Amino acid sequence: MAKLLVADDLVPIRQMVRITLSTQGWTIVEAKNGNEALDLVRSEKPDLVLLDVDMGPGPNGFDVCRQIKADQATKDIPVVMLTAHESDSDRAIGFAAGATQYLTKPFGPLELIDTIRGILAHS
Amino acid sequence: MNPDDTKKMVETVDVSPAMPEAPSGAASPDVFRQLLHQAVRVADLSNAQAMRMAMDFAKVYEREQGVRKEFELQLRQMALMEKQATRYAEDLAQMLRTERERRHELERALEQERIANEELRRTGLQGISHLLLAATIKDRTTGDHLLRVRRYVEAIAERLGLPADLVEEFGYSSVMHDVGKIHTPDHILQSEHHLSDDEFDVIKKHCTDGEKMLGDARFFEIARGIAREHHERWDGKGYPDGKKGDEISLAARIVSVADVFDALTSKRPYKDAWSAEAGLEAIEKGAGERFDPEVVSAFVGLSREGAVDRIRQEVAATSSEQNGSSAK
Ligand SMILES: [Fe+2]
Ligand SMILES: [Fe+2]
Repeated sequence: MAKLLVADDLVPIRQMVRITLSTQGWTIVEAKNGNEALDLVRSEKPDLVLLDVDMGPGPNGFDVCRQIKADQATKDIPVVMLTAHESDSDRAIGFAAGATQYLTKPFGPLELIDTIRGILAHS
Repeated sequence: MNPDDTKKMVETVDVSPAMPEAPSGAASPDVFRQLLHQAVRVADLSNAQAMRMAMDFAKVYEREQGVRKEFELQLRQMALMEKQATRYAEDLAQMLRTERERRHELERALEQERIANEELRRTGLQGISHLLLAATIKDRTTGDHLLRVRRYVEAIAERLGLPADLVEEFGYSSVMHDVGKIHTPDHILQSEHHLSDDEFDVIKKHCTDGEKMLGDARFFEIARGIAREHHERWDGKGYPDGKKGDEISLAARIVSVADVFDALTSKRPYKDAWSAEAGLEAIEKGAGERFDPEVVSAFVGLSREGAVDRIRQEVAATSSEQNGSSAK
């Protein structure tokens, strides 16, 4: 079964994501800020990473995504941005940073599951 | 929302120097503080309603106390969480509704299908018995002939490995193979002499007549095939269409063997009854010419096991025609 990393500073968001994705039998690892996310990506080698953008102090989601993509060991892990930033320029930044998909909050449970399923099926 | 933030926020609220001059008529800051504290606590459980409450109280508090700036981030996060929780609640409610509707629809469709089947079966079976009654009276073919044909057909179909529902369908459909004879004039049907070519042409019409009589209900689909094709031959020399091999439906190929065997081994106005051995020999000789060889070998197999004799005896034992009427 797939292992997914969720990085978000808000506990309820992480809870929602965890509850939603565990219905698919996936294992969920949680990070509450950018640095924790980077550590866990390297140590846990998840099959997919979900990244919030604003996560308090430290690297934001775009930075984390860029660093994942810059590292030879983690660059093939697909990244999904999950953020309240919904402008086209934010999207552009996300995709430029190497994100595979860009979801905006509020997101629906099915939307989240379908997106991840689609990406996992292709990798 | 991070619980630490919440605590911080509430603590900040708690220790913030309340503005002594609240606008007249407004509730005291203490009440707001308590309510906000309460609502924020519940909001941590991701309850959309409570979060909306917390938002409202926070807004009122902000208006009352002018502390907007300190809480900007928390308020933004709360607003986001409120939207997020609402979206989830809506999506889940929609999923539930769709699922419920889908289930209702399915149940309705199943129920309708069940009623329709039941109805069709009942009227269908009634129809069969009426048709048979009429045809039997006219043809003076006995009910025993039809019963034996049905039993042979079911035994052959089962031996060929067909599923039980198809075996049953072949069985009840087989009894209608000659219903078209209701249109055949009596003097031809009951003739004790060999028929002229013209008379034989009239007889042949019972196949297409039977097919027409059986209408277009799905219940009679197999029966229509049997009625039309039970005088076709494996080698293509039969009537009415001269179909050959598996152009002829399997049900009709089976009925053909059962019908001919029973006709040979029964007494008719123009002939005596053959023995079962002689009848079986004739069937075997017809394999690949008149009959489907696989159906013949299934029938021979049944006969070797004694199933054919057993059917003959059982039908004779339950016979309604006590003294073997002349129709036999
Ligand atoms: Fe016939
Ligand atoms: Fe017959």
